Amino acid sequence: MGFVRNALGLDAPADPNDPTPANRFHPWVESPCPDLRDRAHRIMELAKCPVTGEKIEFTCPISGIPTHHSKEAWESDKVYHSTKKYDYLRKVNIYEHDLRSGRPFPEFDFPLEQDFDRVVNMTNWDLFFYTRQFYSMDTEFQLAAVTKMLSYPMTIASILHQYSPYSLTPKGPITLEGLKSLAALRYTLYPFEQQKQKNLAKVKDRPMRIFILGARAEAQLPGHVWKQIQALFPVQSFEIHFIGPECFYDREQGRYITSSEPIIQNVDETLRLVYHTDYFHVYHLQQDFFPYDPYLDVFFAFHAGFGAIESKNTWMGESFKGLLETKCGIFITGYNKQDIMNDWNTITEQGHNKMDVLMEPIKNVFGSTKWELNDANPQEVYQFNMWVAGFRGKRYHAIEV
Amino acid sequence: MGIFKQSPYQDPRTFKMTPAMIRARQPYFVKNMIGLGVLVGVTAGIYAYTYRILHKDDDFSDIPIPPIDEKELEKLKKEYEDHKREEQKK
Repeated sequence: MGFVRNALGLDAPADPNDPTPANRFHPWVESPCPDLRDRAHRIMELAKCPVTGEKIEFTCPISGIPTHHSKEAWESDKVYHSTKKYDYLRKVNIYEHDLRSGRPFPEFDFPLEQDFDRVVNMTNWDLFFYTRQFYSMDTEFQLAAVTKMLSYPMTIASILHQYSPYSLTPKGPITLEGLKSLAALRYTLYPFEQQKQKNLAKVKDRPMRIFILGARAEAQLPGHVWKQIQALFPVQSFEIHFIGPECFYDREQGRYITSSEPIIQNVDETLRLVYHTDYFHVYHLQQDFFPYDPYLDVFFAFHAGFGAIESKNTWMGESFKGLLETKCGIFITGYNKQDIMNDWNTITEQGHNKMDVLMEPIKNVFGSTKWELNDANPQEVYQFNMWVAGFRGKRYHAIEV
Repeated sequence: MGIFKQSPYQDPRTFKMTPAMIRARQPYFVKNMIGLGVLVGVTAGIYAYTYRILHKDDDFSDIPIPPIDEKELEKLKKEYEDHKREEQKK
């Protein structure tokens, strides 16, 4: 039968273990995975019903996530039904079950170096995966699992790459000042351009430093994930500096480690991960990273929360001042539009006249496609690195006297 | 050999494009189809033009017939008739 089916070009019957929206759906309170049952109970403890303001006791039958106090409250929530929020919540549900399903994950075998004659297309995730020859990810489940992990290195690489999907204003979000900063970095990343013209200045011969501020989840990604950046820029070597008190998690001790010395991990001769377990301003004031070079250094802050109430004070004091003094490009991401606009308004207010905008807030092309929810408010759904923006301390031009 | 290795974006048995590849080609589909239309149009146009030129009904009316003598014509006619008769005998 298999032969006849092949000859007719028909599809093979689906493997029952293949993920589909139907077979990955379980209400979280009755989930086969104990940690999702715990999570459902945590939502019931922490969150309040948006209609009645009482405890959450009712599980939405469409999404399988506890959302309301009772069936009546669920039925009367007009906003919930008109915005189809249950579709996003259902995706949160099925993606979490898929990760715990124990199916094989061949999509996590990442390709290494790229052939010379194969150009990488950075237009979107699908084209990037295809031109880099990743495993053929045919379902949204595989994409969700991989893009959540690769979103961090690819957000960095997509901004720095010569075929970046972000173009100059008015066609894109990059301002003229932004193009100046990116041009300096690309000058380092593509040294063949330097060799073409003899009179151009040579960039210092040291690895490019990518500083990741307030590093949390991204600092726990294994080296081969970060290696994906280096694979796109094969002639340049990189140092990735994770900075922040939650940047080094010791699995054996089960807690975040603080160390006065930076912790160094060499992935290979072209990539080194360095962990600094204190706030950025501490190192900045000690001049540990000095000298900064806008051709060789760039800063990224993933969901740092510059404007969030609980972290605003640590960011907007000495750290923000120090960041502007470096004159290097700083790019930030947020997990939804409201989050990044909150950060962005705080930054542009405090940095008024002291900073240049490099990149207006825009939806990140290489954001995670996996939907997440906030346990304290299950109706707040978001994706990691959904929005991105950039700024830099103002540089003063030489004035003719 | 790299060239003979099957692409991961083909179904290993049916050799059809995988959904991931179809998604990747999506942004180029319309432009590719326009390009296909132009190329097929040029080729088909050349064929059509040549076919029409070669199949024109041509009775050589533009070629002048050389003048011929009456006697000569009689002789040729007779030769033709003889030849015809001989053919019929056989």
